[in-house]
Amino acid sequence: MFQGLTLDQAPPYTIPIKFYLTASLYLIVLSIITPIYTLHVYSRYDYEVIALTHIFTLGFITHIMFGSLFQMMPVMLSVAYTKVVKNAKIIYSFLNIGLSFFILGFLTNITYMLGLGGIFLAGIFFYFCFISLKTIFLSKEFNALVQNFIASFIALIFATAFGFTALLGHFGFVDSVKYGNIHIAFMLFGWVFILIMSVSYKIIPMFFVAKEFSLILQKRLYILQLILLLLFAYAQIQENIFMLTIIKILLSSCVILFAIFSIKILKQRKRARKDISVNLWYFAMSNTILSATLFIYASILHVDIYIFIGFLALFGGIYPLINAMLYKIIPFLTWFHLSSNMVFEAEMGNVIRKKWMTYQVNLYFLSFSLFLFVPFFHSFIIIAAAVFFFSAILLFINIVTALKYYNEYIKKKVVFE
Amino acid sequence: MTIKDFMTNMHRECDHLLTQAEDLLDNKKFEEAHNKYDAFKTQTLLHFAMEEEYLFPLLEDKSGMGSMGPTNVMRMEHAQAKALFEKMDDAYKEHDTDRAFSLGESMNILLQQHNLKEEQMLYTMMNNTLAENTQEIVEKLQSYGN
Repeated sequence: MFQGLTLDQAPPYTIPIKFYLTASLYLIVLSIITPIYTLHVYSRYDYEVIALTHIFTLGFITHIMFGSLFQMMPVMLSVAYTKVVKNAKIIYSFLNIGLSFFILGFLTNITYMLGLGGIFLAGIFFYFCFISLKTIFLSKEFNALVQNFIASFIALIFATAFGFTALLGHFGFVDSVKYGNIHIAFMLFGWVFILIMSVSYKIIPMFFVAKEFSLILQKRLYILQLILLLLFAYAQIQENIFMLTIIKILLSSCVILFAIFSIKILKQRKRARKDISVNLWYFAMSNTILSATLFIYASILHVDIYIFIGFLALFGGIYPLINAMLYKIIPFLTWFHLSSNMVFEAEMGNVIRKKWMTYQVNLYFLSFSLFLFVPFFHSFIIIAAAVFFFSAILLFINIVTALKYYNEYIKKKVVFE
Repeated sequence: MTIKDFMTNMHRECDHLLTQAEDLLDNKKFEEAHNKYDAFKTQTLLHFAMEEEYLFPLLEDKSGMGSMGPTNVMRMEHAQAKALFEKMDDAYKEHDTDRAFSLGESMNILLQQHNLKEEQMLYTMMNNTLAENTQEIVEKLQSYGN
Protein backbone atom coordinates (compact mmCIF):
# COMPACT_ATOMS: atom_id res chain seq x y z
CA MET A 1 0.00 0.00 0.00
CA PHE A 2 2.76 2.39 0.86
CA GLN A 3 5.19 1.66 -1.92
CA GLY A 4 6.55 4.90 -3.26
CA LEU A 5 6.65 6.64 0.04
CA THR A 6 10.10 5.49 1.04
CA LEU A 7 13.35 7.16 0.19
CA ASP A 8 14.83 3.82 -0.89
CA GLN A 9 12.73 3.97 -4.01
CA ALA A 10 13.97 7.35 -5.17
CA PRO A 11 16.66 6.68 -7.78
CA PRO A 12 20.18 7.90 -7.15
CA TYR A 13 20.76 11.51 -8.20
CA THR A 14 23.16 10.43 -10.93
CA ILE A 15 20.49 8.58 -12.92
CA PRO A 16 18.38 11.52 -14.12
CA ILE A 17 21.46 13.75 -14.35
CA LYS A 18 23.21 11.28 -16.67
CA PHE A 19 20.18 11.27 -18.97
CA TYR A 20 19.99 15.10 -18.88
CA LEU A 21 23.70 15.55 -19.61
CA THR A 22 23.54 13.15 -22.53
CA ALA A 23 20.46 14.93 -23.84
CA SER A 24 22.28 18.25 -23.87
CA LEU A 25 25.26 16.62 -25.62
CA TYR A 26 22.93 15.53 -28.41
CA LEU A 27 21.80 19.13 -28.75
CA ILE A 28 25.42 20.19 -29.21
CA VAL A 29 25.89 17.49 -31.86
CA LEU A 30 22.67 18.59 -33.54
CA SER A 31 23.73 22.22 -33.69
CA ILE A 32 27.07 21.22 -35.25
CA ILE A 33 25.76 18.92 -37.93
CA THR A 34 22.61 20.87 -38.82
CA PRO A 35 24.39 23.33 -41.16
CA ILE A 36 26.48 20.53 -42.65
CA TYR A 37 23.55 18.37 -43.69
CA THR A 38 20.67 20.74 -44.24
CA LEU A 39 22.02 23.40 -46.57
CA HIS A 40 20.55 21.59 -49.54
CA VAL A 41 17.50 19.79 -48.23
CA TYR A 42 13.94 20.96 -48.54
CA SER A 43 11.69 17.97 -47.93
CA ARG A 44 10.81 16.17 -44.72
CA TYR A 45 11.42 12.89 -46.51
CA ASP A 46 15.13 13.60 -47.03
CA TYR A 47 17.27 11.19 -45.04
CA GLU A 48 19.24 14.07 -43.54
CA VAL A 49 16.06 15.64 -42.18
CA ILE A 50 14.93 12.31 -40.73
CA ALA A 51 18.35 11.84 -39.08
CA LEU A 52 18.41 15.33 -37.56
CA THR A 53 14.82 15.05 -36.38
CA HIS A 54 15.67 11.81 -34.58
CA ILE A 55 18.76 13.32 -32.95
CA PHE A 56 16.36 15.83 -31.47
CA THR A 57 13.48 13.49 -30.61
CA LEU A 58 15.48 10.47 -29.48
CA GLY A 59 18.71 12.15 -28.43
CA PHE A 60 17.19 15.05 -26.59
CA ILE A 61 13.48 14.59 -25.87
CA THR A 62 13.57 10.86 -25.10
CA HIS A 63 16.60 11.14 -22.80
CA ILE A 64 14.91 13.90 -20.82
CA MET A 65 11.61 12.04 -20.65
CA PHE A 66 13.11 8.71 -19.61
CA GLY A 67 15.45 10.32 -17.07
CA SER A 68 12.60 12.35 -15.60
CA LEU A 69 10.22 9.41 -15.41
CA PHE A 70 12.71 7.41 -13.34
CA GLN A 71 12.79 10.31 -10.90
CA MET A 72 9.21 11.54 -11.00
CA MET A 73 7.19 8.35 -10.91
CA PRO A 74 7.60 7.94 -7.11
CA VAL A 75 6.57 11.55 -6.50
CA MET A 76 3.70 11.73 -8.95
CA LEU A 77 2.20 8.25 -8.76
CA SER A 78 3.62 7.02 -5.45
CA VAL A 79 5.11 4.00 -7.19
CA ALA A 80 8.68 3.46 -8.27
CA TYR A 81 10.52 1.38 -10.83
CA THR A 82 11.97 -1.81 -9.42
CA LYS A 83 15.71 -2.40 -9.97
CA VAL A 84 15.90 1.18 -11.08
CA VAL A 85 19.70 1.38 -11.34
CA LYS A 86 19.95 -1.74 -13.48
CA ASN A 87 17.01 -0.79 -15.66
CA ALA A 88 18.29 2.74 -16.15
CA LYS A 89 21.69 1.37 -17.23
CA ILE A 90 20.13 -1.05 -19.72
CA ILE A 91 17.86 1.59 -21.20
CA TYR A 92 20.57 4.22 -21.36
CA SER A 93 23.07 1.90 -23.07
CA PHE A 94 20.75 0.39 -25.64
CA LEU A 95 19.07 3.69 -26.41
CA ASN A 96 22.42 5.23 -27.25
CA ILE A 97 23.73 2.25 -29.20
CA GLY A 98 20.49 2.08 -31.17
CA LEU A 99 20.42 5.79 -31.79
CA SER A 100 24.03 5.85 -33.03
CA PHE A 101 23.37 3.10 -35.57
CA PHE A 102 20.08 4.68 -36.58
CA ILE A 103 21.50 8.15 -37.20
CA LEU A 104 24.61 6.87 -38.96
CA GLY A 105 22.36 4.63 -41.07
CA PHE A 106 20.33 7.59 -42.27
CA LEU A 107 23.29 9.90 -42.78
CA THR A 108 25.43 7.34 -44.62
CA ASN A 109 22.61 5.40 -46.26
CA ILE A 110 24.03 2.10 -44.98
CA THR A 111 20.96 -0.08 -44.63
CA TYR A 112 22.28 -2.67 -42.17
CA MET A 113 23.01 0.16 -39.72
CA LEU A 114 19.46 1.39 -40.10
CA GLY A 115 18.15 -2.08 -39.45
CA LEU A 116 20.33 -2.61 -36.39
CA GLY A 117 19.44 0.80 -35.06
CA GLY A 118 15.75 0.14 -35.57
CA ILE A 119 15.91 -3.21 -33.78
CA PHE A 120 17.79 -1.76 -30.79
CA LEU A 121 15.48 1.23 -30.54
CA ALA A 122 12.23 -0.70 -30.92
CA GLY A 123 13.49 -3.24 -28.37
CA ILE A 124 14.39 -0.63 -25.81
CA PHE A 125 11.19 1.33 -26.28
CA PHE A 126 9.07 -1.78 -25.83
CA TYR A 127 11.13 -2.69 -22.78
CA PHE A 128 10.68 0.78 -21.27
CA CYS A 129 6.93 0.59 -21.92
CA PHE A 130 6.81 -2.81 -20.27
CA ILE A 131 8.62 -1.81 -17.08
CA SER A 132 6.75 1.49 -16.91
CA LEU A 133 3.29 -0.02 -17.31
CA LYS A 134 4.23 -2.73 -14.81
CA THR A 135 5.20 0.02 -12.36
CA ILE A 136 2.13 2.17 -13.02
CA PHE A 137 -0.20 -0.77 -12.45
CA LEU A 138 1.30 -1.14 -8.95
CA SER A 139 -0.48 2.09 -8.09
CA LYS A 140 -3.49 1.41 -5.91
CA GLU A 141 -5.26 4.48 -7.25
CA PHE A 142 -6.72 4.79 -10.72
CA ASN A 143 -6.95 8.57 -10.80
CA ALA A 144 -6.70 10.87 -13.82
CA LEU A 145 -2.91 11.03 -13.57
CA VAL A 146 -2.52 7.26 -13.62
CA GLN A 147 -4.92 7.00 -16.56
CA ASN A 148 -3.01 9.66 -18.52
CA PHE A 149 0.29 7.93 -17.89
CA ILE A 150 -1.12 4.61 -19.08
CA ALA A 151 -2.52 6.29 -22.19
CA SER A 152 0.81 7.87 -23.06
CA PHE A 153 2.59 4.52 -22.83
CA ILE A 154 -0.08 2.85 -24.95
CA ALA A 155 0.56 5.55 -27.54
CA LEU A 156 4.29 4.89 -27.28
CA ILE A 157 3.77 1.19 -27.98
CA PHE A 158 1.80 2.01 -31.13
CA ALA A 159 4.30 4.71 -32.13
CA THR A 160 7.19 2.29 -31.80
CA ALA A 161 5.41 -0.46 -33.71
CA PHE A 162 4.49 1.88 -36.56
CA GLY A 163 7.95 3.45 -36.52
CA PHE A 164 9.55 0.06 -36.93
CA THR A 165 7.08 -0.79 -39.70
CA ALA A 166 7.92 2.48 -41.45
CA LEU A 167 11.60 1.56 -41.23
CA LEU A 168 10.85 -1.66 -43.10
CA GLY A 169 9.75 0.61 -45.93
CA HIS A 170 13.36 1.68 -46.37
CA PHE A 171 14.10 -1.95 -47.21
CA GLY A 172 11.25 -1.98 -49.72
CA PHE A 173 8.71 -4.01 -47.74
CA VAL A 174 5.99 -1.43 -47.06
CA ASP A 175 5.05 2.16 -47.84
CA SER A 176 7.26 3.98 -45.35
CA VAL A 177 5.50 7.34 -45.82
CA LYS A 178 2.13 5.91 -44.85
CA TYR A 179 3.42 4.16 -41.73
CA GLY A 180 5.83 6.99 -41.00
CA ASN A 181 2.90 9.40 -40.77
CA ILE A 182 1.12 7.13 -38.30
CA HIS A 183 4.35 6.81 -36.32
CA ILE A 184 4.72 10.60 -36.15
CA ALA A 185 1.08 11.07 -35.13
CA PHE A 186 1.30 8.52 -32.31
CA MET A 187 4.64 9.94 -31.14
CA LEU A 188 3.68 13.60 -31.15
CA PHE A 189 -0.07 13.63 -30.48
CA GLY A 190 0.09 10.49 -28.35
CA TRP A 191 3.23 9.76 -26.36
CA VAL A 192 4.75 13.25 -26.12
CA PHE A 193 1.55 15.28 -25.94
CA ILE A 194 -0.30 13.04 -23.46
CA LEU A 195 2.80 12.75 -21.25
CA ILE A 196 3.29 16.51 -21.31
CA MET A 197 -0.39 16.93 -20.41
CA SER A 198 -0.11 14.41 -17.56
CA VAL A 199 2.96 16.07 -16.13
CA SER A 200 1.54 19.58 -16.60
CA TYR A 201 -1.63 18.65 -14.71
CA LYS A 202 0.56 18.21 -11.64
CA ILE A 203 3.60 20.37 -12.33
CA ILE A 204 1.84 23.65 -13.15
CA PRO A 205 -0.22 23.76 -9.94
CA MET A 206 2.82 22.50 -8.03
CA PHE A 207 5.53 24.84 -9.31
CA PHE A 208 3.46 27.95 -9.81
CA VAL A 209 0.79 27.48 -7.11
CA ALA A 210 -1.95 27.60 -9.69
CA LYS A 211 -5.45 26.16 -9.98
CA GLU A 212 -5.91 22.53 -10.97
CA PHE A 213 -6.89 21.76 -14.57
CA SER A 214 -10.55 20.83 -14.87
CA LEU A 215 -11.23 17.17 -14.17
CA ILE A 216 -13.15 16.81 -17.43
CA LEU A 217 -10.03 17.82 -19.32
CA GLN A 218 -7.86 15.53 -17.22
CA LYS A 219 -10.15 12.53 -17.62
CA ARG A 220 -11.47 12.91 -21.16
CA LEU A 221 -8.86 14.54 -23.36
CA TYR A 222 -6.46 11.60 -23.39
CA ILE A 223 -9.30 9.21 -24.31
CA LEU A 224 -10.28 11.44 -27.19
CA GLN A 225 -6.66 11.66 -28.34
CA LEU A 226 -6.23 7.89 -28.28
CA ILE A 227 -9.47 7.26 -30.19
CA LEU A 228 -8.54 9.90 -32.77
CA LEU A 229 -5.08 8.38 -33.18
CA LEU A 230 -6.53 4.93 -33.82
CA LEU A 231 -8.91 6.43 -36.38
CA PHE A 232 -5.96 8.30 -37.88
CA ALA A 233 -4.10 5.02 -38.33
CA TYR A 234 -7.16 3.46 -39.96
CA ALA A 235 -7.73 6.44 -42.28
CA GLN A 236 -4.06 6.59 -43.21
CA ILE A 237 -3.89 2.89 -44.05
CA GLN A 238 -7.15 3.19 -46.05
CA GLU A 239 -5.83 6.41 -47.61
CA ASN A 240 -9.12 8.11 -46.81
CA ILE A 241 -8.07 11.73 -47.31
CA PHE A 242 -11.34 13.28 -46.13
CA MET A 243 -11.35 11.30 -42.89
CA LEU A 244 -7.65 12.08 -42.37
CA THR A 245 -8.28 15.79 -42.72
CA ILE A 246 -11.11 15.74 -40.19
CA ILE A 247 -9.01 13.76 -37.72
CA LYS A 248 -6.01 16.07 -38.14
CA ILE A 249 -8.27 19.03 -37.37
CA LEU A 250 -9.66 17.33 -34.27
CA LEU A 251 -6.23 16.22 -33.01
CA SER A 252 -4.84 19.71 -33.46
CA SER A 253 -7.90 21.20 -31.75
CA CYS A 254 -7.25 19.04 -28.67
CA VAL A 255 -3.68 20.37 -28.55
CA ILE A 256 -4.89 23.95 -28.92
CA LEU A 257 -7.49 23.43 -26.20
CA PHE A 258 -4.87 22.14 -23.76
CA ALA A 259 -2.43 24.96 -24.61
CA ILE A 260 -5.12 27.61 -24.06
CA PHE A 261 -6.07 26.10 -20.69
CA SER A 262 -2.38 25.99 -19.69
CA ILE A 263 -1.94 29.66 -20.49
CA LYS A 264 -5.15 30.56 -18.67
CA ILE A 265 -4.14 28.62 -15.56
CA LEU A 266 -0.62 30.08 -15.65
CA LYS A 267 -2.03 33.60 -15.95
CA GLN A 268 -4.13 33.01 -12.82
CA ARG A 269 -1.27 31.49 -10.80
CA LYS A 270 -0.88 32.65 -7.23
CA ARG A 271 2.90 32.71 -7.37
CA ALA A 272 2.83 35.77 -9.55
CA ARG A 273 6.58 36.44 -9.92
CA LYS A 274 7.85 36.00 -13.43
CA ASP A 275 10.86 33.79 -13.98
CA ILE A 276 12.60 32.12 -16.90
CA SER A 277 10.42 29.04 -16.63
CA VAL A 278 7.17 30.99 -16.86
CA ASN A 279 8.41 32.85 -19.93
CA LEU A 280 9.50 29.61 -21.56
CA TRP A 281 6.15 28.03 -20.77
CA TYR A 282 4.20 30.86 -22.39
CA PHE A 283 6.52 30.78 -25.39
CA ALA A 284 6.08 27.02 -25.74
CA MET A 285 2.31 27.14 -25.47
CA SER A 286 2.04 30.02 -27.97
CA ASN A 287 4.13 28.12 -30.52
CA THR A 288 2.12 24.98 -29.85
CA ILE A 289 -1.08 26.86 -30.67
CA LEU A 290 0.52 28.36 -33.78
CA SER A 291 1.89 25.05 -35.06
CA ALA A 292 -1.41 23.24 -34.44
CA THR A 293 -3.31 26.02 -36.23
CA LEU A 294 -0.93 25.84 -39.19
CA PHE A 295 -1.34 22.07 -39.22
CA ILE A 296 -5.11 22.53 -39.59
CA TYR A 297 -4.52 25.07 -42.34
CA ALA A 298 -2.06 22.81 -44.17
CA SER A 299 -4.38 19.82 -43.87
CA ILE A 300 -7.41 21.64 -45.27
CA LEU A 301 -5.61 23.43 -48.08
CA HIS A 302 -3.06 20.67 -48.73
CA VAL A 303 -0.14 23.06 -48.45
CA ASP A 304 3.24 21.44 -47.85
CA ILE A 305 4.62 23.47 -44.96
CA TYR A 306 5.22 20.44 -42.76
CA ILE A 307 8.93 21.13 -42.16
CA PHE A 308 8.03 24.54 -40.78
CA ILE A 309 5.18 23.10 -38.67
CA GLY A 310 7.53 20.40 -37.38
CA PHE A 311 10.11 23.03 -36.52
CA LEU A 312 7.52 25.13 -34.67
CA ALA A 313 6.12 22.17 -32.76
CA LEU A 314 9.44 20.58 -31.82
CA PHE A 315 11.82 23.53 -31.49
CA GLY A 316 9.27 26.19 -30.57
CA GLY A 317 6.82 24.11 -28.54
CA ILE A 318 8.36 21.03 -26.98
CA TYR A 319 11.94 22.26 -26.56
CA PRO A 320 11.20 25.38 -24.44
CA LEU A 321 8.74 23.40 -22.34
CA ILE A 322 11.44 20.86 -21.54
CA ASN A 323 13.96 23.65 -20.96
CA ALA A 324 11.50 25.26 -18.52
CA MET A 325 10.96 22.01 -16.64
CA LEU A 326 14.72 21.31 -16.48
CA TYR A 327 15.39 24.63 -14.76
CA LYS A 328 12.78 23.79 -12.15
CA ILE A 329 13.58 20.12 -11.73
CA ILE A 330 17.41 20.09 -11.68
CA PRO A 331 17.95 22.69 -8.92
CA PHE A 332 15.20 21.13 -6.83
CA LEU A 333 16.45 17.61 -7.39
CA THR A 334 19.99 18.58 -6.43
CA TRP A 335 18.89 20.38 -3.29
CA PHE A 336 16.38 17.66 -2.37
CA HIS A 337 18.89 14.83 -2.66
CA LEU A 338 21.38 16.82 -0.57
CA SER A 339 18.95 17.73 2.17
CA SER A 340 17.63 14.15 2.21
CA ASN A 341 21.19 13.24 3.10
CA MET A 342 21.09 15.77 5.94
CA VAL A 343 23.21 18.29 4.05
CA PHE A 344 21.25 21.39 4.94
CA GLU A 345 23.80 24.03 3.88
CA ALA A 346 22.94 23.60 0.21
CA GLU A 347 20.49 26.06 -1.33
CA MET A 348 18.43 25.54 -4.45
CA GLY A 349 19.11 29.06 -5.69
CA ASN A 350 22.85 28.37 -5.75
CA VAL A 351 22.71 25.13 -7.74
CA ILE A 352 22.69 26.83 -11.15
CA ARG A 353 23.34 30.54 -11.36
CA LYS A 354 20.27 32.43 -12.51
CA LYS A 355 22.41 34.60 -14.78
CA TRP A 356 23.67 31.58 -16.71
CA MET A 357 20.19 30.15 -17.09
CA THR A 358 19.06 33.50 -18.51
CA TYR A 359 21.99 33.61 -20.96
CA GLN A 360 21.20 30.12 -22.17
CA VAL A 361 17.50 30.82 -22.64
CA ASN A 362 18.14 34.15 -24.38
CA LEU A 363 20.51 32.43 -26.80
CA TYR A 364 17.81 29.89 -27.50
CA PHE A 365 15.29 32.66 -28.21
CA LEU A 366 17.80 34.30 -30.54
CA SER A 367 18.54 31.10 -32.43
CA PHE A 368 14.81 30.37 -32.75
CA SER A 369 14.28 33.83 -34.26
CA LEU A 370 17.18 33.33 -36.66
CA PHE A 371 15.85 29.95 -37.79
CA LEU A 372 12.61 31.71 -38.80
CA PHE A 373 14.54 33.52 -41.54
CA VAL A 374 15.86 30.30 -43.06
CA PRO A 375 12.96 29.83 -45.53
CA PHE A 376 13.86 33.26 -46.99
CA PHE A 377 17.65 33.16 -46.65
CA HIS A 378 18.81 29.56 -46.51
CA SER A 379 22.29 30.50 -45.37
CA PHE A 380 20.81 31.82 -42.12
CA ILE A 381 20.81 28.22 -40.98
CA ILE A 382 24.54 28.54 -40.27
CA ILE A 383 24.16 31.56 -37.99
CA ALA A 384 21.06 30.14 -36.28
CA ALA A 385 22.76 26.80 -35.65
CA ALA A 386 25.90 28.57 -34.38
CA VAL A 387 23.84 30.54 -31.85
CA PHE A 388 22.04 27.39 -30.81
CA PHE A 389 25.41 25.67 -30.40
CA PHE A 390 26.33 28.20 -27.69
CA SER A 391 22.91 27.80 -26.08
CA ALA A 392 23.34 24.00 -26.01
CA ILE A 393 26.87 24.35 -24.61
CA LEU A 394 25.52 26.59 -21.86
CA LEU A 395 22.75 24.13 -21.08
CA PHE A 396 25.38 21.40 -20.77
CA ILE A 397 27.55 23.60 -18.53
CA ASN A 398 24.56 24.47 -16.34
CA ILE A 399 23.76 20.80 -15.81
CA VAL A 400 27.44 20.04 -15.09
CA THR A 401 27.41 22.92 -12.59
CA ALA A 402 24.49 21.27 -10.78
CA LEU A 403 26.34 17.96 -10.71
CA LYS A 404 29.51 19.63 -9.38
CA TYR A 405 27.46 21.40 -6.71
CA TYR A 406 25.97 18.09 -5.66
CA ASN A 407 29.36 16.35 -5.58
CA GLU A 408 30.87 19.17 -3.56
CA TYR A 409 28.13 19.21 -0.93
CA ILE A 410 27.48 15.49 -0.67
CA LYS A 411 30.97 15.16 0.83
CA LYS A 412 29.54 16.97 3.85
CA LYS A 413 27.00 14.22 4.39
CA VAL A 414 26.89 13.14 8.03
CA VAL A 415 27.07 9.39 8.41
CA PHE A 416 25.59 8.16 11.67
CA GLU A 417 27.44 5.26 13.24
CA MET B 1 -15.64 16.92 6.51
CA THR B 2 -13.05 14.16 6.23
CA ILE B 3 -9.50 14.17 7.58
CA LYS B 4 -8.28 14.45 4.00
CA ASP B 5 -10.48 17.48 3.31
CA PHE B 6 -9.38 19.24 6.46
CA MET B 7 -5.67 18.63 5.97
CA THR B 8 -5.79 19.39 2.23
CA ASN B 9 -7.53 22.71 2.92
CA MET B 10 -4.79 23.53 5.36
CA HIS B 11 -2.17 22.83 2.67
CA ARG B 12 -3.89 25.33 0.39
CA GLU B 13 -4.05 27.95 3.16
CA CYS B 14 -0.31 27.61 3.73
CA ASP B 15 0.39 27.90 -0.03
CA HIS B 16 -1.68 31.06 -0.11
CA LEU B 17 0.15 32.64 2.84
CA LEU B 18 3.56 32.03 1.24
CA THR B 19 2.51 33.53 -2.07
CA GLN B 20 1.07 36.56 -0.25
CA ALA B 21 4.34 37.03 1.64
CA GLU B 22 6.26 36.88 -1.64
CA ASP B 23 3.92 39.33 -3.35
CA LEU B 24 4.44 41.80 -0.51
CA LEU B 25 8.18 41.25 -0.68
CA ASP B 26 8.10 41.86 -4.40
CA ASN B 27 6.41 45.20 -3.69
CA LYS B 28 9.11 46.03 -1.10
CA LYS B 29 6.58 46.02 1.76
CA PHE B 30 9.07 44.36 4.07
CA GLU B 31 7.21 44.70 7.35
CA GLU B 32 3.96 43.25 5.99
CA ALA B 33 5.86 40.57 4.09
CA HIS B 34 7.59 39.51 7.30
CA ASN B 35 4.27 39.31 9.15
CA LYS B 36 2.74 37.23 6.41
CA TYR B 37 5.79 34.98 6.33
CA ASP B 38 5.45 34.51 10.10
CA ALA B 39 1.83 33.52 9.64
CA PHE B 40 2.87 31.03 6.97
CA LYS B 41 5.55 29.57 9.22
CA THR B 42 3.24 29.32 12.22
CA GLN B 43 0.50 27.66 10.20
CA THR B 44 2.89 25.22 8.53
CA LEU B 45 4.53 24.23 11.81
CA LEU B 46 1.10 23.76 13.36
CA HIS B 47 0.20 21.48 10.46
CA PHE B 48 3.40 19.48 10.97
CA ALA B 49 2.63 19.20 14.69
CA MET B 50 -0.89 17.91 13.97
CA GLU B 51 0.62 15.18 11.85
CA GLU B 52 3.66 14.28 13.90
CA GLU B 53 2.07 14.43 17.34
CA TYR B 54 -1.42 13.25 16.58
CA LEU B 55 -2.32 11.85 13.17
CA PHE B 56 0.79 9.82 12.35
CA PRO B 57 0.88 7.99 15.71
CA LEU B 58 -2.85 7.25 15.35
CA LEU B 59 -2.38 5.85 11.86
CA GLU B 60 0.75 3.91 12.78
CA ASP B 61 -1.04 2.39 15.74
CA LYS B 62 -4.28 1.54 13.99
CA SER B 63 -2.70 0.17 10.79
CA GLY B 64 0.14 -1.57 12.58
CA MET B 65 2.69 -0.22 10.15
CA GLY B 66 4.95 1.24 12.85
CA SER B 67 6.92 4.45 12.65
CA MET B 68 9.49 3.42 10.05
CA GLY B 69 7.15 3.45 7.04
CA PRO B 70 5.90 6.34 4.93
CA THR B 71 5.18 8.48 7.99
CA ASN B 72 8.89 8.44 8.70
CA VAL B 73 9.61 9.81 5.23
CA MET B 74 7.06 12.55 5.84
CA ARG B 75 8.77 13.39 9.14
CA MET B 76 12.10 13.65 7.32
CA GLU B 77 10.61 16.05 4.82
CA HIS B 78 9.21 18.10 7.69
CA ALA B 79 12.78 18.28 9.01
CA GLN B 80 13.94 19.53 5.61
CA ALA B 81 11.29 22.25 5.70
CA LYS B 82 12.23 23.23 9.26
CA ALA B 83 15.86 23.63 8.20
CA LEU B 84 14.67 25.88 5.38
CA PHE B 85 12.63 27.99 7.82
CA GLU B 86 15.80 28.87 9.73
CA LYS B 87 17.34 30.30 6.56
CA MET B 88 14.14 32.03 5.50
CA ASP B 89 13.92 33.71 8.91
CA ASP B 90 17.28 35.36 8.24
CA ALA B 91 16.42 36.34 4.69
CA TYR B 92 13.15 38.00 5.74
CA LYS B 93 14.77 39.72 8.73
CA GLU B 94 17.58 41.09 6.59
CA HIS B 95 15.24 42.10 3.73
CA ASP B 96 17.39 39.95 1.45
CA THR B 97 14.78 39.71 -1.31
CA ASP B 98 16.70 37.51 -3.76
CA ARG B 99 17.57 34.95 -1.12
CA ALA B 100 14.04 35.00 0.30
CA PHE B 101 12.64 34.25 -3.16
CA SER B 102 15.18 31.55 -3.82
CA LEU B 103 14.49 29.86 -0.49
CA GLY B 104 10.76 30.39 -1.03
CA GLU B 105 11.08 28.50 -4.30
CA SER B 106 12.71 25.55 -2.52
CA MET B 107 10.09 25.66 0.21
CA ASN B 108 7.28 25.83 -2.31
CA ILE B 109 8.42 22.85 -4.38
CA LEU B 110 9.36 20.84 -1.30
CA LEU B 111 5.94 21.39 0.24
CA GLN B 112 4.05 20.87 -3.02
CA GLN B 113 5.60 17.49 -3.74
CA HIS B 114 5.27 16.58 -0.07
CA ASN B 115 1.59 17.58 -0.08
CA LEU B 116 1.02 15.62 -3.27
CA LYS B 117 2.30 12.45 -1.62
CA GLU B 118 0.20 13.04 1.49
CA GLU B 119 -2.96 13.89 -0.43
CA GLN B 120 -2.53 11.09 -2.93
CA MET B 121 -1.69 8.38 -0.43
CA LEU B 122 -1.45 9.08 3.25
CA TYR B 123 -4.65 11.04 3.84
CA THR B 124 -6.64 8.57 1.77
CA MET B 125 -5.21 5.87 4.00
CA MET B 126 -6.19 7.89 7.07
CA ASN B 127 -9.73 8.34 5.76
CA ASN B 128 -10.06 4.59 5.38
CA THR B 129 -8.23 3.39 8.46
CA LEU B 130 -9.57 5.98 10.87
CA ALA B 131 -13.07 6.18 9.35
CA GLU B 132 -14.89 5.24 12.57
CA ASN B 133 -13.50 8.26 14.43
CA THR B 134 -13.50 10.84 11.68
CA GLN B 135 -15.82 13.28 13.42
CA GLU B 136 -13.88 13.20 16.66
CA ILE B 137 -10.50 13.51 14.88
CA VAL B 138 -11.55 16.45 12.74
CA GLU B 139 -12.94 18.25 15.79
CA LYS B 140 -9.68 17.69 17.60
CA LEU B 141 -7.73 19.01 14.59
CA GLN B 142 -9.94 22.10 14.43
CA SER B 143 -9.08 23.00 17.99
CA TYR B 144 -5.46 21.91 17.78
CA GLY B 145 -2.95 24.31 19.29
CA ASN B 146 -5.60 26.42 21.03
